[in-house]
Amino acid sequence: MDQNYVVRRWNSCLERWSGIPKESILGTHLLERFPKLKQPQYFLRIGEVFKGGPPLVFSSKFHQYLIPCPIGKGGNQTQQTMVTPVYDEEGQENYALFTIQDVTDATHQLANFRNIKKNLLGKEIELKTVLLEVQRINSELENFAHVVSHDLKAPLRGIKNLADWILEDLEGKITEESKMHLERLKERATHMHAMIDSILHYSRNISGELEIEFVDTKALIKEVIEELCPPSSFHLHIHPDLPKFNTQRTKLKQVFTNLIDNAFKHHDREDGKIEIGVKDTGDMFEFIVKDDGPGIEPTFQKSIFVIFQTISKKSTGDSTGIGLAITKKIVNDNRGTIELESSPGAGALFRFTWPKNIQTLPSSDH
Amino acid sequence: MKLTEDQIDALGELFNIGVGKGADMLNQMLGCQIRIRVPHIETLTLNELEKQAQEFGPKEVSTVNLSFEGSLSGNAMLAFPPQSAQNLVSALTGEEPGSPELDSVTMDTLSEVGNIIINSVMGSITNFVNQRLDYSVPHYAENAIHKLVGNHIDDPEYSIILAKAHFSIENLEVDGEIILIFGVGSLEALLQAIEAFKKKLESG
Repeated sequence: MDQNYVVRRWNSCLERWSGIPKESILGTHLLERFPKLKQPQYFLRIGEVFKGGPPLVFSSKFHQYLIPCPIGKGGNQTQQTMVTPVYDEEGQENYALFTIQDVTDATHQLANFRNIKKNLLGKEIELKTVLLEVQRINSELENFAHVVSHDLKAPLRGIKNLADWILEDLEGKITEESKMHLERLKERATHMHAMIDSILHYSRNISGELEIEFVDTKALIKEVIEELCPPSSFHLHIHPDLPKFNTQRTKLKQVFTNLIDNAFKHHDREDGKIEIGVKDTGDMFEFIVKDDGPGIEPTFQKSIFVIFQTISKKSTGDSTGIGLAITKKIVNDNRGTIELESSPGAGALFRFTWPKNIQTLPSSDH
Repeated sequence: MKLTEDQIDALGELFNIGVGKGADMLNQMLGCQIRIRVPHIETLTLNELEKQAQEFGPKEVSTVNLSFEGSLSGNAMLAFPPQSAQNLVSALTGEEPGSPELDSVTMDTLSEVGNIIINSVMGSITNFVNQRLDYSVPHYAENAIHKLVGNHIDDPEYSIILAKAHFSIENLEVDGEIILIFGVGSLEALLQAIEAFKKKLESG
């Protein structure tokens, strides 16, 4: 455009963008064609270019466009424009060169990004609220379990002591049947004591982050077996290629302890066999704990992972039905799965998956 | 060659006229009530600038740059310290301060705001320079101030004029600092401009 605002050049790109052919705009007055440019923020600044002033920047943020260039759906391009002074060789004639960049796509991308971010922020706030609520409930549950176990255990101890004193007081004066009833009363009280301990144990396993440590699974399993003290006649086969990796040691140990203890406890022979193995499935390790015990009836298989469900016929007080419930909880909390394959007389095989990389929940402290 | 106190005062006045015109244009364009004042200016060496730059806090600042050649040659740079840049851009665009998308509009917004202010200051000075100057394409850069200025220095005669301007947007209760750095290859042409300006003031 020359200093009389007459259009002198109109390139093919601008012909295409604006839909205005060169022939129809060359020689015409720019401000008449685009009256928006008569506004002082354009007119005064462009005037400075003709007086020899520096180039001008018109950002897309403040002016969507200077020269309207229609795009689909009735809108116009979003443009970034620079207006630069140009002189003829003699330095007599001043021109203003408009350099226009189409930034419509970038602007749309930014708008999309904003929408996505807004949605994600909403979701994040929602999740944080839920997480805080879950943490509050967990903490309440743990307190509740603690209080309940303490309050219930005291009278239970009293019942057991009273049964002992009655047995002592009536020594030789009561029938064998009554004595047996009192013994049963003590056994039931002991069993209830164990169940209350289990509630506390279960609630502690729900909450709490644990440190991630380097774990040699083979050494960990040997440690578990030593602590469980199985009869020496038991045959144990541990897979030689058990992994060494960084994970929550205490949780993994708890899972193996519960499964191996389960195999020992429910075995019906002194010379039972237990096999512990592993398979690499990509992101996860798939561990197995297999025994050749009595197996589990199909009707019981669904309920064995439910809290307080035990299929043990013994009532010794040490089988509360909490072990497998805790095991399933720990495995699931670590994005793993646990399943049972068993049939009566053919032993039981527990298969659980454990992530190679543990992801911990974000802390709610900040 | 150093500027005398009188010359510094006159140059400060030229700067104030320039930023004032720039603020008027911004107000007209954006419908805001922005005020920009340059309380004082000083001349300094690159080493002195480096020391001053440390006061601006974080290493990188947003700058708008314009080089010019002719009887007066050098570089004009408008630098926005990060907090001021954020306050200004969020006030003018409505983006929330501290939001990541503010980054993406900062360059766009500051390029034009900086362009308006620099052009007005250049205009108020070149009114008193006889010859027409050739300008580079304005560009936006983020870096440490002294490194950006150092990019333009290849002349031992190079003089740096530093103006710390204060801006405020009254209706939005936003304020901050803008640093205007004016580097010239030789003070001679600038001194002539200053003298011409003083003469004009004296003649009323």
